[in-house]
Amino acid sequence: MKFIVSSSKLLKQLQTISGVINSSNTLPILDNILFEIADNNLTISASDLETTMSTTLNVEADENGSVAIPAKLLLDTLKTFPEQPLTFLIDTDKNCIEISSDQGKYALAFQNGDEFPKAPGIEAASTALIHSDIIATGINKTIFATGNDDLRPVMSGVFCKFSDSGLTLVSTDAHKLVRYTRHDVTSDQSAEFILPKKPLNILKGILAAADEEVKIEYNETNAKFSFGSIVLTCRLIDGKYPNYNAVIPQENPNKLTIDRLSFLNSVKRVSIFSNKTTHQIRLKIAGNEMHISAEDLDFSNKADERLSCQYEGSDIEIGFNSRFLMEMISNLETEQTHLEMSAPNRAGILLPEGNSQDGEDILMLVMPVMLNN
Amino acid sequence: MIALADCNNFFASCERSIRPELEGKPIVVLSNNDGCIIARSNEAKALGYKMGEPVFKVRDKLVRNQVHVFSGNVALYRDISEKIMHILASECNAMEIYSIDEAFMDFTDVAAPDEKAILLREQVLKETKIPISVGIAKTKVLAKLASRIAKKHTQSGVFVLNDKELIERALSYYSVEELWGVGRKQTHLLNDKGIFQASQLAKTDEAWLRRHMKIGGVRLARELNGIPSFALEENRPSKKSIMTSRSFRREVASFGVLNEVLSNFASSCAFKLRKQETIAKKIAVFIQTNRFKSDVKHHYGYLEVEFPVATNDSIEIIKAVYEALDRIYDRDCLYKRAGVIVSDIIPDKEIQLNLFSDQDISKRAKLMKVYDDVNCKMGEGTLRLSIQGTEKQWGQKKAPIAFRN
Repeated sequence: MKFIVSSSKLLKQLQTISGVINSSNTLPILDNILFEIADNNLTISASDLETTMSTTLNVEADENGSVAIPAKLLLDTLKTFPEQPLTFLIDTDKNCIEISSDQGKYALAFQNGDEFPKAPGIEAASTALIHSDIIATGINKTIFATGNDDLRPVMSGVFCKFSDSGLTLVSTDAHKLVRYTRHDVTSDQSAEFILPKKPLNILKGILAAADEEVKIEYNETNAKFSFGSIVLTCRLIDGKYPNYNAVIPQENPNKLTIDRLSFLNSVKRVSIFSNKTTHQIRLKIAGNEMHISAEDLDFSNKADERLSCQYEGSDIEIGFNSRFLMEMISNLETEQTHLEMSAPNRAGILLPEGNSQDGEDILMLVMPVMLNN
Repeated sequence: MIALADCNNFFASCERSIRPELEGKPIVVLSNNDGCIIARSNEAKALGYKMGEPVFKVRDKLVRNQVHVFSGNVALYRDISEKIMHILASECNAMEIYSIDEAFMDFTDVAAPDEKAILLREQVLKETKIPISVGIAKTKVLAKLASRIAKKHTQSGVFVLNDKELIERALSYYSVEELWGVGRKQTHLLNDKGIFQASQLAKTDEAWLRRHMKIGGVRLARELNGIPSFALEENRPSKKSIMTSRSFRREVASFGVLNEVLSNFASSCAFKLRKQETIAKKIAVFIQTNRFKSDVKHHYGYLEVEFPVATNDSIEIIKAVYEALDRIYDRDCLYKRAGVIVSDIIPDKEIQLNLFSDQDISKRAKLMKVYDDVNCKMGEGTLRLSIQGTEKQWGQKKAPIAFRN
């Protein structure tokens, strides 16, 4: 079997899908990329068993067939070539591929393509069509708040909920929580599932550059994203997602409005002086003034800043992990931001200015650090 | 000036302090499960017993020599140590408790350090019956050396190493491995370079030391030259993790017994956390079969769990231990060793709350306060969770009757 392909086009596609490959695999075949040729179409796939991703490009081929080629060797080689047509000659008797370039010839062993695990088909699937921008934004807004605890796998993913009132994405690590809602993406059937972090991170990268409708098919166990020539199939996280709505405080009489960037910069500066393990900072709000302070008793380091703000409510003193605050504030985009609080031991709510405009609704929760004076 | 107070044969002296009739008699103290000798009175040292010597090798000799043998009694040693540290602290500006039986004291403004040390030594001896040695010098490394000299070569138990000639003589007398902070690896390194005596190290080129021993080596050499480079650490940083583990006298197969054992370890870790006013974010549990038996099924189970809210609450920690053990336990194995490690320790003033946990932290803190107060007054284990059991069947061996004279 023989096919000819442009080196740069192939490289680009390989780089797109190679993010799926784990650095160490229990199944050796997963170190490979599957090449399948059918009627002058080359489909390349990578998999870690949980997530499988493939893409298709046109080639000139003399027959159909499939082989699994070592991913690292191939990528390392292709990266060095200037744009040119490459000829892949597959010798099934010798179990060897010969790549011919303008510069020379390279031979590498391959494995039988039939041994490569197939992506599961999605039976009895529901389907949704969502624009790539919306998905990319949704992932960007939520993925940072996911957890990393192997013993609580549901929190390591992003919860997705389709309903007639909109699409909701939720992530939480039990200390912070983000709920991102699009009212302009509605679905007749309601559905809920938890997507793992890894495929979302891969999608985030590619979707930012795409500008097209993404077809999402899903059932109880798997989800499949198709757009352009790319198809990504992933297994869903099994389990019950925590009841996030129950932990969102409803009565928040203390409302702060502040310039987002000056708030962010103050938190960043002050946090340098906070305890190196807890990153605790203290917000003291009274009148139209907020004091942000931190202290590291181990080194006698201390910082205190004053910011003017708009504030309605009673005076409050509340502690937060500055890391969480920084991540959240920098993830909002508006000029002003709102922080709503009820008590120093209840979650604070961060909201962008003018929420719910453009069909988008963002709510971030952050649990405080208990202050002992 | 810095003074190092070091208790002589601490564990053996503690045993003697509560049994005055043992004055002048040889005493050894044994490690956990009575495996090795970990402390010897001067009389036992004179009979040739070595530090760390396994008991089975010298069992007959111990009986023959009528040595008084004790299983380690950590609670007693800790108690006496606290008393001594209290006395020392009241007599100096600043102090670093370096270990259970050693403390560095700031003697900067003391007019007559040697006289003060002699008085201090008498006070400790009178109030606790524990003999201490005090070494006084400009730096910590020299003070440590001075305390060695005080212990071995003086009647008074106090030695001031400040005179230039005296320091030179001491440094050429002691070899590098006898210095504070020089381990086996560094000794090899220095010996390879032909540096054997402390005096040679003091004169070694700083650039070489920096290259081969990093900043620690440079500091060490400076300290030997009387330039203070190690500061007194009054608040020694809290431990990064706390482990409680034991080998069992007999192997344990039952989940119930293992859980009881681990609950007791967890309770001990929780108490230590509360004592140093900290909380832990994570806990790890491990269980291990006997590595030295070849005919049984081997298993090493280990699991680390993150608490929903960092804690020092015995109830929460014991609950987490149960859950972890349930996941790693293999009913077909006989376990020889088990342990609990709490880690990611932070101050208890800074508790990150959890969105999904409704635990009443301040209520539990109050409960733990009562728990500790009762146990402090009435003895350890007076108040405990029922899962911790009543009889410690798995407990440590006590020195066999035949050893007790």
